[in-house]
Amino acid sequence: MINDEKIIEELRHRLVSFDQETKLQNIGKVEKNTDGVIICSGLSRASMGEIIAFENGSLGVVLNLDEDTVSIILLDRATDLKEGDEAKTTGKPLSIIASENLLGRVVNPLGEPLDGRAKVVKGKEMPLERIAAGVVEREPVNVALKTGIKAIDAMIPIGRGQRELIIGDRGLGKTAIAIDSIINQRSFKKDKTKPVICIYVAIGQKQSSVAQIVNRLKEESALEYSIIVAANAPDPASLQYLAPYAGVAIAEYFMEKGNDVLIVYDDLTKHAWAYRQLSLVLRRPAGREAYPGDIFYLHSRLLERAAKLNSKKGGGSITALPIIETQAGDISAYIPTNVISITDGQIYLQGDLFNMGIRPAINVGNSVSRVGGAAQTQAMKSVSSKTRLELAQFRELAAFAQFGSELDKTTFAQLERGKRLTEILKQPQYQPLSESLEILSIWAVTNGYLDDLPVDVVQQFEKELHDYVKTHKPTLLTDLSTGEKPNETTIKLMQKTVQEFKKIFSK
Amino acid sequence: MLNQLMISSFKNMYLDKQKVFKIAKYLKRSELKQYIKALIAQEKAITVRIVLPQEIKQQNKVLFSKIFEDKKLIFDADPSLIIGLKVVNNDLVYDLSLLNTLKNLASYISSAYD
Repeated sequence: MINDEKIIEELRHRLVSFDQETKLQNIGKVEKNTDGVIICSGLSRASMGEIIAFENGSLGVVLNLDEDTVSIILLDRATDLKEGDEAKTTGKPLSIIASENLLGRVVNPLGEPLDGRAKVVKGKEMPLERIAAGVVEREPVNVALKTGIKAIDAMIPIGRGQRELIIGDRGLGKTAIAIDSIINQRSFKKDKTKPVICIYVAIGQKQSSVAQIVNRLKEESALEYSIIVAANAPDPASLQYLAPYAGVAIAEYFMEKGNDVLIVYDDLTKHAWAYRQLSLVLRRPAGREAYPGDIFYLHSRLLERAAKLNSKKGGGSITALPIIETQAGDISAYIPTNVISITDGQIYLQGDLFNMGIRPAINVGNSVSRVGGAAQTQAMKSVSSKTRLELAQFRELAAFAQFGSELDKTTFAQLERGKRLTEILKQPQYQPLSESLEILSIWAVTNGYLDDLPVDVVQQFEKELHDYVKTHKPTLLTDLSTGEKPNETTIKLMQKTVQEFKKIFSK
Repeated sequence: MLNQLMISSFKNMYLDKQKVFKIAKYLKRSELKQYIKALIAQEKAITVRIVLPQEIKQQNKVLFSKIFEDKKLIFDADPSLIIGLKVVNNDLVYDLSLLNTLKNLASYISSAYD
């Protein structure tokens, strides 16, 4: 039985931070409730982005300040809010509580748990709207963020602090690339390095899809260093609009502590739709495709918050992987062109390649990383420098060869090499590779070791080669994982290993 | 023009009913709606509502009228305040009651601890 004195002492201890100062309240009255947007009179001292509390307990955020009224978006589906109800300002901007306790959790943009566990109440309040780090606080992107996907790490390398867009039609594997990138970060345990904190922001997704992603991350032991922020399809447009900002606010908490963070926005097309819906209800002037005039600013201020901070500011970084869904492969539409112009490169997924069985279906020609080789290790750079050119040459020749004309030896060899390179770059889902295995695979194909193998056994060969090297030549993997350009000894070991394995494989 | 009509509808901080009816006769439906809204807003702007736990003595009313010299004062009694007072000046509320403090305390405890 707990005695009274202990209870009083505990209460006294807990209430030490209670603010007893009387605050001036600014009240208003609900005049209109339309589709999740409340028009209130009064509230003369409300500021933009301030939280407003209604008498039924609902919360909203100020989005419009007009001459006599204030427009507020509701943060929940308050159907009982009626004309004449009282509203009051809270004096607080919209923020989310961020802490290490969020790792492994699924929350909504207000920080409320969606995974059935207790709410995280202790932590730092991070504002959802914040000015991005200035020029002086940043440093150039120069450390690789390894996705574990050969095609990306070799030809479209991503660096920590970069914004790389993943763009394509529905069902082509955009989310798969993002999830594989998250899963690949689990190598921190083996490498004994600091983990890259991963944040997956689901905007307007089906709840079943988000549940599948959470389960997959759990199975792959990736959930322990990840946070899911979800505003799903049934949630109000206001929550879908706030979700990416909540995600980046949490990311900034970790970045300021010197951590590297990977944040995935899945997807910004639905984010733009949610913002369009809110703007139309707020009667803001509609522009192209009915989007409001500040649709570019919606995404630019979000993506600018991804940065690599200099050592004075802790050296942390936020790498952003925004996802955009196109219609019929049209990357010249309004929202895709906006986001392409903001990001530091794009990974373009094409339906034709997907249907041909090339997965990930990356169109290397239209994909680019503006950071490029600065985000690659010397080891990867040394083996992958020829890859992009060889693939481009192969695709040109492949189109020409379809006419059935006789080919010279060199052209034929290039075509055969290109086919094997295409095969090697295929990768199953949820199987990201370590950098050493990626280097080994790409080195083997670009140096002609697969030229004498039938194309249809290349993937089998690669899989068994990896198993062989892990079992019989672990020192080779250790040498390749240093990141340094392979020296003569390492190259000779690679040659010997591949030749030895080829003999076993052909038997 | 509607603003001027609204200002002239008040006499010594009280609504002049005869003037209001006179003006209303000459206004169109949409103008009448705006005129009524303006009257309501002005009424709110010039009125201060003071709520106390019990009826206030006349000498104390004089004190308040010195603080809010250019406003119309309305005094209400609300025992639920327990102690203290609440002043509502248009859309600004100064809630200095014990009831408000207890509500804030309860809200703080429920939001800070699960």
